[in-house]
Amino acid sequence: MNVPSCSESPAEKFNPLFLKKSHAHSRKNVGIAKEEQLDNNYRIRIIFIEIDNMKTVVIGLLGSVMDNKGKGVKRWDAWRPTVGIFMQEDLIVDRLELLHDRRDERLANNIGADIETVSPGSEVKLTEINFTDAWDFEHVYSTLLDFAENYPFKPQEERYLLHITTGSHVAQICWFLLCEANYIPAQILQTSPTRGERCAAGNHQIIDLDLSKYDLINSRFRNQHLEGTEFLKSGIATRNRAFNELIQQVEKVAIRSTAPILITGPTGAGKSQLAKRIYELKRKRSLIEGEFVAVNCATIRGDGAMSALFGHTRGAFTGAQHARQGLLSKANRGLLFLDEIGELGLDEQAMLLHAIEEKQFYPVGSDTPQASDFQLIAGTNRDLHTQVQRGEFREDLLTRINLWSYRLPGLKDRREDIEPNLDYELQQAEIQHGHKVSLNKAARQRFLDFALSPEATWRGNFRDLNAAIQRMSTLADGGRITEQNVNDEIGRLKRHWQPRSQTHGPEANIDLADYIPEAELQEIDLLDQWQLLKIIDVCSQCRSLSDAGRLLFNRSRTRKRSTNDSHRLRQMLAKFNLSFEELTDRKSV
Amino acid sequence: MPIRTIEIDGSEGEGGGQILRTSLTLAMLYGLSISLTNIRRNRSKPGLMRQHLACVNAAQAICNAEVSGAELGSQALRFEPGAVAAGNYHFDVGSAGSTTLVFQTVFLPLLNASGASKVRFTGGTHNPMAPPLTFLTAAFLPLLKAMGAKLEIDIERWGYFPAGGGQWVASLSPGPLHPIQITDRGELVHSRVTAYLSNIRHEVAEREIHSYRKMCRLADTTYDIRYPKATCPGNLLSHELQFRNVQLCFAELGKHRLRAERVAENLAHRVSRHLDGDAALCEHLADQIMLPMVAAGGGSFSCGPLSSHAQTNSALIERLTGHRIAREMQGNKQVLTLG
Repeated sequence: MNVPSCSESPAEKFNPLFLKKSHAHSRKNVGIAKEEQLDNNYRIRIIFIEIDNMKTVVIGLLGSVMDNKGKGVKRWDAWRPTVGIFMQEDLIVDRLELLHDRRDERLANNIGADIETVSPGSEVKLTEINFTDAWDFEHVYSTLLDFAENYPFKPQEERYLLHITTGSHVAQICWFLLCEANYIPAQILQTSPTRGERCAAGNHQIIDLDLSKYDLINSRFRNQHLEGTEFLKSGIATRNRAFNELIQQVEKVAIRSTAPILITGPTGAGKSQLAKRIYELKRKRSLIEGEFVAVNCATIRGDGAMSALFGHTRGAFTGAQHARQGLLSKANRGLLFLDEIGELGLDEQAMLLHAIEEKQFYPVGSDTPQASDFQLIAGTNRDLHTQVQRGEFREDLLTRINLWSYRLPGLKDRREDIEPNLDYELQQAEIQHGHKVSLNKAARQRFLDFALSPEATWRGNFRDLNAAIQRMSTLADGGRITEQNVNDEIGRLKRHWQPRSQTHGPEANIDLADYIPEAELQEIDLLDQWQLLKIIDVCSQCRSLSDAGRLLFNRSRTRKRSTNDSHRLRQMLAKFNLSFEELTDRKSV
Repeated sequence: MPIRTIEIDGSEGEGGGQILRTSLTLAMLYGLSISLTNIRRNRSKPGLMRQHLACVNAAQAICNAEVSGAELGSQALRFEPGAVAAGNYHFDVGSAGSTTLVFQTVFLPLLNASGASKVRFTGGTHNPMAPPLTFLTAAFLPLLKAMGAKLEIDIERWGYFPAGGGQWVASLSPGPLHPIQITDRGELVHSRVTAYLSNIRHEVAEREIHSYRKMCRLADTTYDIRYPKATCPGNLLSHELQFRNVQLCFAELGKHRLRAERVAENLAHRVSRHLDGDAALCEHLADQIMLPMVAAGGGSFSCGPLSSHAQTNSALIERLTGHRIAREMQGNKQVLTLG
């Protein structure tokens, strides 16, 4: 407990103002001072009671109408939102940041004084802001944004409540937007008068905008209770027969067996999602108690792989200052998903096999075996049999994990599933963004036409589809994805899927979309696009238009009577609405 | 130093803030370490509210207690008192509850301390759910003085609900309390009705007195209007009854939308109910005098039926102190004796 003391003259004895000043350090709302007579000097001891470490800070606008109930004693008969905050039985506020207009300075001071009467432990800080028009959205938003950006928020030490009841409706909207956009790390505080009686205190509600904290709302977003195969497919009504049959079998195995499962398939085909869903299904049926531990073996290659998987004891090797629990023991009684298992070194493979068979293994540097009972799901996009032949993968391990082996087809082999997956991704985007994401009819048709065409290679499979929806829903204004958004996205996907060899030169770093609007770019022949890439590349390395012209027309210019390379180049660029200056400007940017 | 911790279930009986305050007072008087659980569990806003924290903090201040769980909404509190230190204190509770409740929590330990104390209170003095300061000075204080307490109260300013802002000082000198026996109230010596008005139209007081006069059956009653200083509007109608052996004070707070006539009616109803019986102490005094009796080590008084508040209080006192509070019916009153 912290007990500072300070000298006080007898005249100031019992002066509540003094007490108030000292409250700057005080914890909570109830001011307690003990005075002791010492050598004819009064000393005041403020006694601190640690209640909790977080201070509660209210930020709000002074209500020039609602908080203004005159100066007479009758003001206590009416509800005043800002004062009422400090009269709540179950709310203790350490500080109020009261924003007021210059014209309302006197009112702000009076409100501050009344707050000190009803809640002596609370500090009131006045901030003058200048609202020329409290109903002008742009003005109010930028004024409040200025405040938010300059305010020294300390979310580790203080809990913020943003009082939105006072101020114009426009101000309320702006507060809400700032809060939702995380410019103000606060919960929203609403106050309201008590129904049916005149009461100064009124009521309060604290609203957290994090919707995930509300069970009722959450359950509406959550998928309907899904059973078995539906659950494994995350509720996506897939139409591909082969895939559906595969899932049906996976479901049976997931429920009935604890043997290892091998999932193969191209990258992005959904191996780790399926592993996760298998775990969740088992968990739902109470078939498993432990955690889901997923690791990509490609990320733990080399020296650290052993200790990452199996852990190590303290001092097992130089730098091993602390013992480490490996992923295998973390997955005890749970499920271990080893993605890209083909990347695992031979030593680790041997130890893993031992661990699967014996349900125990040796951490690095330890002589005592450690037990861990986990179910293994392995994922790979390699052909493990070929790896076995090359001596890169242990045959006995492959036999062990190959008991249940499933090959997930890529998206291009499941084109009929693109549409249901599109809907699923849109739904996920809605949850992520917290607002409706829609695709109008024309845009949807445009996207599906492209997605189902041979042009769409879906090289990254579901990962690409997911990324496409993510990008479109982020770029769409108000969550409405337009045909234009779709066209832009198709351009991005096409470029993403371009064979790598086309862009091997220095122009590989150039993205035509930086120079030409997406819509126009789609109308330009591939031949012209390549030509343009080279032109931009050369121009960006030349100091003048004629330098660039000389380089580009290096052969034909020798055969011309009069050479005007700059003119030829300028005309060429003009075809694409570009100019040399523009290209070199961009380079400098 | 406390040797063992006493567990107290805060939801028993009346289950409100009284259990907390009585527990704190007894903990300080007897040097008991207490652990309260289920504090106000069945209330709409359970756990410690601001007004309860005010009492915990005040108690903590005078005895330098080790406290844990003193948080808003907390339903569990541990309180290990140290030695009660006399001195000058200032408890500013704002509008968070009543200063009289804080006073009731700390005055007995301070009367038991080694030196004189001066305690200044700032905040509410006349709150709807607490004994008004007027009752404290007109009825409770004389009774305490009869038990030998050296205690004076000076009121500077009233603090009505909701603004609070009242100011008063209690001066206490230590000394033992002695048991008293008040089973008979004796004949009525004096009867005085006062309407207190602060920042309210004069007419309200006149209407209260006018209608009270019509209902009051005591002929020799004086009527008076007073205007105490206060920071917000407020009104109190009180009837002080001085019997040979005890002084009583019944008081009703005026409030919004409650007609002056209705205030008078409520008061008249309570006073006449008491006069109909033979009990010496009113319901509130009976409840509040139990703790001082424990401090005095005995005593007895007569009263009407015990409120649930008083029953809870009595059960808690019996449990924590080992004293027994015997109840015996004598005609239409009951006599409580602390053994």
